[in-house]
Amino acid sequence: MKLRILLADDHEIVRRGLRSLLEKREGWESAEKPAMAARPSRRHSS
Amino acid sequence: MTIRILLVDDHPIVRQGLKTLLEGRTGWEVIGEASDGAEAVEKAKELNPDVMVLDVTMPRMNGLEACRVLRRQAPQLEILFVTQHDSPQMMREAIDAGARGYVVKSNAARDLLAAVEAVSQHRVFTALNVREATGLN
Repeated sequence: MKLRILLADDHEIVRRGLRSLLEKREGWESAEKPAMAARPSRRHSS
Repeated sequence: MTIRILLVDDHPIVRQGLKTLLEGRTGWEVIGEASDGAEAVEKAKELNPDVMVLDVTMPRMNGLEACRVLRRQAPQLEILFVTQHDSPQMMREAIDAGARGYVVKSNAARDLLAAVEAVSQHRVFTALNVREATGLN
């Protein structure tokens, strides 16, 4: 099964570890979006 | 140059990330892994590595305690801390415990290879922010 995975973590060393683990599975591929970790989360008020 | 490295961190995913980075260098070999300080002390005795990459906060025995034990047990072993702690106090404590280098985990991808190379040659490695914080050269 083909699966495309987006990795977001502020530590590059953790992204490397996750990527190396995930890409051992055939058909799984990962991409990184490190900037997401630095972006403040938005809270919605009700 | 051949460097035999022992990785010590309680998070397997961090060890995996460190390993992929280190094994990109020709001649560098990760000869073993440990998930706490006590296991690190045992594995160092068994495997006799050149360099240990050591986390600080771990169960059973933390990295600082392990470092102090290893300084007595294996004086030829060079120890490099790779940790999330970026306080000047922790950096100073690590160097006082006998480590040759200190890298903050968030900078590991940038600093790790230079740090391992330096400590393997018995030179102190502290990234710029560490030098500023502790006054070490």
